[in-house]
Amino acid sequence: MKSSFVLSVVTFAWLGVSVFYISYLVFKRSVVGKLASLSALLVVLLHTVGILLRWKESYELGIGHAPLSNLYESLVFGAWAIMAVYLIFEWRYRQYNLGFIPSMLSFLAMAYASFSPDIDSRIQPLIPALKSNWLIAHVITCFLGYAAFGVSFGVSVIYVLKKKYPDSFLSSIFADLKSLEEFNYQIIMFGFLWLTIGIITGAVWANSAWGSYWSWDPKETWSLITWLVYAAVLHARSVRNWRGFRVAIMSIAGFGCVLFTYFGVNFLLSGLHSYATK
Amino acid sequence: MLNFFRRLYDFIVSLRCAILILILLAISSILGTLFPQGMPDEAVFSQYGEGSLKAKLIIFFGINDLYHSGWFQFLLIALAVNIILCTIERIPKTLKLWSHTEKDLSPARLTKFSHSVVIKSLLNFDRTIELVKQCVGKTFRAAPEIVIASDDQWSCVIQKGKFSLFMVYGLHFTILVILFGAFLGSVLGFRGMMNIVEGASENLVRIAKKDRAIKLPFKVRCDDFNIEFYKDGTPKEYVSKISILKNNKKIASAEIKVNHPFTFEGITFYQATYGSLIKEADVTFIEPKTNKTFKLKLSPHKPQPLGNTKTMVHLLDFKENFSGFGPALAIAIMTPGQNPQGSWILAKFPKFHGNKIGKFRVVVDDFKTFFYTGLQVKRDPGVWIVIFGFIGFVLFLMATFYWNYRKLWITIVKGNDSWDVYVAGRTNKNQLAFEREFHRVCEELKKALGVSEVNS
Repeated sequence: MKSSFVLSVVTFAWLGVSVFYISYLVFKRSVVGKLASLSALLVVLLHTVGILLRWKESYELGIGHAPLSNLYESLVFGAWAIMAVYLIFEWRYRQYNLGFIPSMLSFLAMAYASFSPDIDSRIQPLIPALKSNWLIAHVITCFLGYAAFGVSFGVSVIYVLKKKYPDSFLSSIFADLKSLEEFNYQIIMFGFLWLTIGIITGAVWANSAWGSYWSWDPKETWSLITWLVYAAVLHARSVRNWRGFRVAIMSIAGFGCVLFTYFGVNFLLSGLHSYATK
Repeated sequence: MLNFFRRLYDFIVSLRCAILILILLAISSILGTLFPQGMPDEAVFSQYGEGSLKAKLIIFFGINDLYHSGWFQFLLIALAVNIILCTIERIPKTLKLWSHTEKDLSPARLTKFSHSVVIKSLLNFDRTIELVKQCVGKTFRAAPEIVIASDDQWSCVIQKGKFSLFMVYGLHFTILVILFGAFLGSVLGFRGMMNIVEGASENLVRIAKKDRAIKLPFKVRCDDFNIEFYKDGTPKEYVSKISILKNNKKIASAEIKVNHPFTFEGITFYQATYGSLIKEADVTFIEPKTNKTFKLKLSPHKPQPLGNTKTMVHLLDFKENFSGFGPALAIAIMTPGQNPQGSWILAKFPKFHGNKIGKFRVVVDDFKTFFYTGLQVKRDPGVWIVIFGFIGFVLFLMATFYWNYRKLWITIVKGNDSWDVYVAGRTNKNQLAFEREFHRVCEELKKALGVSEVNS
């Protein structure tokens, strides 16, 4: 089986998972919720198989490297990470009804990676700057952070809607505000931890490749800005006791920074990370 | 006046000030990604117009080198000062929490906690105490500290993770360690470039952005530079083979690749760039009127006469890719009593109409180049402090997030027809996890005391 085939199946499977999660919200049958959860788990496994196959295929082409080297591969990994992180939290906090936004984000990332004419999905050889074991550590840690912020974005949107329209159909189907808030906070902490490790591995790598851990390249700068926004969220919550609504709004803004760090910097600003545009 | 300073200090140690600094840092960082960095002032003027307001503002605020400008560094220092002062300001509160001794363990207070439960034990007083001690010690995994042990009341507190109160200080301290390491590196170390032609040796390092060079205590010779390519033509590896020479004796050698630097006596060499220089070129000069041709073998710094004339031909410069037209040679001719004339000659386009110097058409028949390697050279004694700070930051971050201070208060007093066990609990983070743990402890207590009814 070819990885490209597996990954195109996975693309539509995420749409299916997303439909399951919506159905659970509509029908409120726990059977549907468990089905959504189970299907998400199976698709994550299939997605993992797709990524591993692509890794193996790169070795068969004689240019073996981890599939984390360009925009296509990072989108595929990002889509995987969002749902993997979401499932960990779903299982830990027993919240089965928040999967709709993360699975939709995964579907959109995969669809964009597969169908955008600007994105090259071929396996390309690794340029000398990326030939390092730090590549795997740096990309995985950064994307775990981004993924957690993506999940937090989903939870925050639900929180804001629920708070703004307390009497609507929406508010009756999601968990109470208090557990949503706690859930959101746990995910932000998780994301912050991984983004921190991602920035640090990037700095250590830059130091061993170019001799400076920080060069104020646009990607570095924007990831620092994202980091500062979430640092502000954490401080506002722990020192000034901000809760709920304001934290949710800040998390939505933070995810805007994540998206700009990831897409905006690639397409609008040039710098050391320019290999991430194709 | 004193009042003013008091208010200034209060502002500096406030979270509002910290957030303000973070926002200012974020906005100025964004500014730095919108304007090209590292542009010399002259380039700014030529891009935005000589004397234009925009150019003047950019230069006045140092936006062309924003991250090294005085006011940006001031913001970084302000952040460090804010972190230090906020920490000092908060230490007494933490110490108070640390050394807090419990006095009031009355049922009235314990029932006010958000996690609070009453269990009615039908066993006698001593047996109840013994079972509570045993059971809580086992399920909460911490030793009870007895506060009151009288004939009609027994109270204790049980706590764990008290040390986690200090983790947030460690976290902020490691930020200062990282800043200190970076500062030490920039003061005691240096960073510069070294271009070495294949076969040549060099001991001068040009320092970036400063008209300064550092002389290394040894020479670096570039034995060979090579670019390897993949089948599809993209570069696979840039490799410099270098030797270290002391008193013209080779004492070490290494292969430097991107991602594989080489360190010698605390100085690290990184593969940064490369380029090629012209070695020699076979050039034909044609005089169109007479169709007379002159064939010349040129090399830099060795002017050749044009046939038997007094005109000398100089090979001045070489560009590997001249505005996208491939390699080009800068050639000039000098005739005594006349102004020198010269032009860039495109090597791959012999028929290009611009391949002309004075009255001659010039064709490059062949040329040979050799590489030079561009090495980034760095000495940074602060690097280990920075890495130590990084590791510390991650460890303290995990401890701050996931290690919490959990405390239970237990009081046993005489009820109507039973001994009432009041249990209250509190944590400073991870409320959901603690709720579960508190619930589990209460369930176990009920089981141990043989009670089924619980009023919370």
